[in-house]
Amino acid sequence: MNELDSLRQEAETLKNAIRDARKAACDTSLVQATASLEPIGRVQMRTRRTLRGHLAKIYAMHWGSDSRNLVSASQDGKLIVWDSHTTNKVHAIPLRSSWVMTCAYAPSGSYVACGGLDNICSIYSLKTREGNVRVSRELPGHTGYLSCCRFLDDNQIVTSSGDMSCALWDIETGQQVTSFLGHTGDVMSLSLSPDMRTFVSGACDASAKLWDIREGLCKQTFPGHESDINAVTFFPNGYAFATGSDDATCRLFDIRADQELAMYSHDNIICGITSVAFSKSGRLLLAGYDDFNCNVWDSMKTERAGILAGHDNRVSCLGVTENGMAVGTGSWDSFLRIWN
Amino acid sequence: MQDQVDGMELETLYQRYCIRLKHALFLSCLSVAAATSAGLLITTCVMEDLTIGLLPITTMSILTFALFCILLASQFPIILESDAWALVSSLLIAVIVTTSILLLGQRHAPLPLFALLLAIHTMLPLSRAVALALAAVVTAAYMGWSIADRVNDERHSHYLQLIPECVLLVTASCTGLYYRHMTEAAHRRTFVGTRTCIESRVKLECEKEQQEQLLLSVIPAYIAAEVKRSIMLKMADACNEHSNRSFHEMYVQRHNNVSILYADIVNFTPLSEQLSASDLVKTLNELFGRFDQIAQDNQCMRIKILGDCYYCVSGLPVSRPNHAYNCVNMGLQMIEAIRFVREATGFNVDMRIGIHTGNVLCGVLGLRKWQFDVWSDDVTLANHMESGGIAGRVHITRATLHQLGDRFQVEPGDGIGRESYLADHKIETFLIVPPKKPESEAQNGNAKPPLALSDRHNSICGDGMYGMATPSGPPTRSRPSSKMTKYVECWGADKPFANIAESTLAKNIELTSGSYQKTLAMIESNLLPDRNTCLECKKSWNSEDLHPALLWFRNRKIENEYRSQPDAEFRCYIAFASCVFLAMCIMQVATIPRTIVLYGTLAPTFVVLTVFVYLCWLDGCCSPRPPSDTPADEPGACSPPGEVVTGSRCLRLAIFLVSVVLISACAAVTLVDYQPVLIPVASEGVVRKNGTNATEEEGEHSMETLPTYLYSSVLSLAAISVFLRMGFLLKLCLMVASVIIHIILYRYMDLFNDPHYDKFSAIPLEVKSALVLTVVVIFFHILDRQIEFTSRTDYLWKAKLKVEQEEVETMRGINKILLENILPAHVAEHFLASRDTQELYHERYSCIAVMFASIPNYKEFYDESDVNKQGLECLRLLNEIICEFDKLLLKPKFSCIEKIKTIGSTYMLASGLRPGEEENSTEASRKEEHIIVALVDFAVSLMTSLDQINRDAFQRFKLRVGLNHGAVIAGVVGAQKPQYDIWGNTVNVASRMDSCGIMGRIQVTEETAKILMNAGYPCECRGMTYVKGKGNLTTYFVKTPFDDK
Repeated sequence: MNELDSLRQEAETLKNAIRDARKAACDTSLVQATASLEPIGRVQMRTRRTLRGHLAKIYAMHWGSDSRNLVSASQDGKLIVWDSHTTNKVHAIPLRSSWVMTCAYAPSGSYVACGGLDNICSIYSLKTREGNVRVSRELPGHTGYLSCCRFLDDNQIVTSSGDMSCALWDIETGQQVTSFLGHTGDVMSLSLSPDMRTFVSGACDASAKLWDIREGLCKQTFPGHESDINAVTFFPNGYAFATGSDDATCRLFDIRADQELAMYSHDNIICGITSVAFSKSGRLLLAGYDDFNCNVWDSMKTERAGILAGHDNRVSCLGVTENGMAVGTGSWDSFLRIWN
Repeated sequence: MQDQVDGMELETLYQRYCIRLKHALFLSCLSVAAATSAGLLITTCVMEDLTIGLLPITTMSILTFALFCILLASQFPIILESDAWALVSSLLIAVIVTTSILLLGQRHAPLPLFALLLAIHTMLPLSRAVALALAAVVTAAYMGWSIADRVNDERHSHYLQLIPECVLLVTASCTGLYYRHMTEAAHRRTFVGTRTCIESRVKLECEKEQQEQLLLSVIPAYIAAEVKRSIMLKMADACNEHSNRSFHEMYVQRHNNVSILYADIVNFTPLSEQLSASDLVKTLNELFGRFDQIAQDNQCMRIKILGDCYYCVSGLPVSRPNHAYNCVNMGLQMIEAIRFVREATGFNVDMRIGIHTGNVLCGVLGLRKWQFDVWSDDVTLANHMESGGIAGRVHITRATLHQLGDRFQVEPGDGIGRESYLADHKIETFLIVPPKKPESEAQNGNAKPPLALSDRHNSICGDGMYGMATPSGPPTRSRPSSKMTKYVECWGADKPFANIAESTLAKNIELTSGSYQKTLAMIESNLLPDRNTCLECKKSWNSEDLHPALLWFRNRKIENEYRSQPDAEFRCYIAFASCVFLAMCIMQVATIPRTIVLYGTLAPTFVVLTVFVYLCWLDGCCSPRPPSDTPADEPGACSPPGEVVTGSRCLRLAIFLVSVVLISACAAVTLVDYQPVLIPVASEGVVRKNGTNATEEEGEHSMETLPTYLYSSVLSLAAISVFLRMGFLLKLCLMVASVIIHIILYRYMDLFNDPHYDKFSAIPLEVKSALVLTVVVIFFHILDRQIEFTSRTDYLWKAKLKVEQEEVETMRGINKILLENILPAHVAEHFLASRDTQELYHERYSCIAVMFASIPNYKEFYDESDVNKQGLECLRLLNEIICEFDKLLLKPKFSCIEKIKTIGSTYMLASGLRPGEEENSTEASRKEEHIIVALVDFAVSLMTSLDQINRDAFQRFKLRVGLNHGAVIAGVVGAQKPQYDIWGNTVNVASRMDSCGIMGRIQVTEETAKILMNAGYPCECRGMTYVKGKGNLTTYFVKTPFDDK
């Protein structure tokens, strides 16, 4: 016990040393640096489409790379692929386990993946020869729920799980290629860098970690949040990322500076953040909140630039299209909305 | 085997469907033929010189008579449906009509023969082979006759004329075959589509029913209905942007004047401790199943089972005048029932029953794990009546006694002496004097001194129902458990969801035969048109969705959708139209002077048609697109023209019109060239009009060309008609226009001046030609109409099915959501999936963390007055609190936590209830830590959220939490209203940790505290704490951020 205590103390001092070093390296703040920047004014977006069809809470959504189709997962046990232009359902995929928590669209548009409390990542092939949608692969191996998954390509997928790990899978063989261990709480979210070589993960241990996919190692750890991190997203240029947490703040971390750059919070906002996404330029940070709203932040000036109100329940997921033309939000009120 | 039978049955059904359709056509065709022949007969009789025209009249009479006879006979369904009759009548018709046409039509015979061949292929109820043979025979007969006639008649032997005739007849057969093929394919598609639709719907319905039964066996129907309605409403006004819901919906109703019965098994805990998991669940199920039965007999509604406590209400949901009487009877019977157990096992178990009459609020609270419950001061009182009662006796209040009248003997109960709550509220109590069996009374009453009142406070502010009755002495006999189990088994109480088991069994049987029959019946009733559909109008006259004459949908939207459907067969139409055009070309080239005009018109038309055909066929089938490289939803720039044509209605219409007009024009355009030649002849023709002998060349000339032109007209009609799904009215108009223009043109060109080569010399040739063409048009129209009608009804039916299917699916989804809200997911799955639900559900877990979180000061807040609608508003706040708590459960990191139930204001949870695998030791210890940490985290979240509610509602609620871990037994008990629950000492201790804890703190046992400290959660020792039923235990408080508040 004594040894344990001393070790604990040592860890504490090391942490403090790191924090001090970071502080020393921080010579300016983002707000100061961007003081001369033109303000963007008020951003007003309206609901252009409402996608109705789910019967229960929507837990996740993800845009396809064509910026038109999107996939959403709901706890009614359905995965629905929508055509956001026409609001038609392209596919409605009944799932084996209705406790789904995440879904992902492959960049090629041929596959979707989902997973949840069944601890399995299921890959569905949308373009089979027979024309129907079927499970093409199931990836068991996690011992906790699947919290997030993202395709690298048609044969590789990265998953994060409640068993405190992330994993890279080879879909063809169904094997875990790499396991990313290091978090001390449930990993809630991951985001792939634009070059697909690294990814960041956010976890219930209030830290975010940057991982190298090929080496399988944690490259950087970003503490700072006071509560569980629910969402992470890469800045479009790949040198920074934003997180959303239960402590009612979003934060921007810079990878090259190894620093927390900015915090997006407001006294009136006391609820947790469920999802975050950047606009195509990165100037706007959109975040979905537990209080049924979605706030638009000016990521450079850390000011609130707008609000998307319309959902009748917690906004659980959010995504910006690849072409930056629209943002989709999914909510526990069982509807998806497309805004711009 | 089954499949084959299915296939056979379906096949016959399909055959019947086709035959039914064909009969309609047959009758229509017969009617038209009969009408035509009758008309012709009458005209002949009127106009012809009877002596000359004996042959036509007799033939016509026989023909008409035969047709009418067949028509009449076919009105009888039995005759109509027999195969033999179909064959005989068809053959008869074919033979008679052919003979008469040959006899009377002579050289003009090919035109009526065209109609006949068409009818043989498409309308007569013949198989394809027979129809082909018959057509061949007819064609051969005519050709033979024609050649023979030409050989005999040297003067008019235009052998070239044979080519158009032959071509025409062959084209007639081809058209007939084409029709037959296309319609059969369409019918097959319709049939298969309908079948799959219906089958999937029946399946969905079965599934839905199953879920519904499961649901209804858990919560009362009216609550389920209300919840479903609200979900539907919520879905309906989805676009409602600004719904300001300050409160969650609460499904609670108030009922006045009901009787509440509380029953408790005294001394059950020592008994239960000796039972194995399955025995315990079995025993509880048998016992409570028995009670459920008694409750049902006495019109009481069982509300809940809490550990070994059982309570029910009479007068719910339907108000009954004799509710108090029912309750007392029920209590007496329960005492009787437990007496058997006691005698059989020798275990000193008994019932203690308290009854009170008053008002209740009933319904469900929170968002998850609904259990129907009742709340009110009267319920609390009834609970205290029970705890202040005497084992083996029914303890009632004055209010109940008042309701009873004098149907029972009572004696003073003196509840005040035993229960402080009763004393505080000065409740006058009575004990029912059991009406019979004095000897058993003597046995009981003496055998047992009033048992030490156990310490349970089963109140609205639930101090925990998991009371441990203090073991009152060692069991009198050893090993009572097996006997007990065995004994109670003989009661044969229903298993949970037994009703479902039966129905699923029934469903299973049905699925093989019954639902199949249902499917068949549905297909039949929807596909088979009325059998006496004469001109197919009859049905559409009654149909409210279709316009009777136009066959349009009454609903504009459906009409538009129907019209804008893609038509995958369009390329077949255009291809066949081109073939018809080719046939026409051959005819014209063979007989008409080959002028520049002829080639000048035929060639461009041919080119245009070829382009069309090429465009329409240029499609995936020629060059399969590389799959998956170009998603289908990309802008249609690269999609092949064939697909565009298939998809675009305007384009199809344009192609149709252009082709039809071109073909139609080609049929007659050479007359332009013909005119100058004929003009001098025409003047002669006027002179010649009265004289019958024509000059040879002119006769030959017109003789050669007129039939060709007429044949061309017929072919252009066919070309119009082959565009099957083009809208039959448009086609009719085009056909009529084409016929009129052609006839007028021919008339104007004086083509009709040739001598009559048939037996109807009295009727002008143009009229005859027009008549024949009209008959052909009518035939085509009937076919078109039939196709249009079937495709439209099919579309309508499909649309309807789709809507219905969506409805069923929605309902199914809602049921599923509700169900999974009531039972843990894996348990619901167990009951839905396993056909054999006779097996009781129970599972033993070695390590489960159990937490009780109560709000002790809610009791002070609760108050029944007129201001707060007799407590309803107080309950609303409780509902809000529980909803907030339930919402926390939805966080992924709390996914291992399962809410068991709420008991008054106590929230009961367990974590680690995952079915199946018990891991190895290292895994297990990790899991142990994980589940306890998760529960502690959850407790902190609960406190945070309660804090927030306090701020909003200006209250000072504090949470008192007790936590323990260890082995538990989980299972589902209760036959009428199955409930998922957990039992075991672990649960009892956890409940105690709560009830003897301190407000605002989390109290845990020593073992749990050790694990928590290992995990880095600081704990603070409370010291020795007296725990009722357990003696002194060392307990700990977990440090939380709320400690100092």
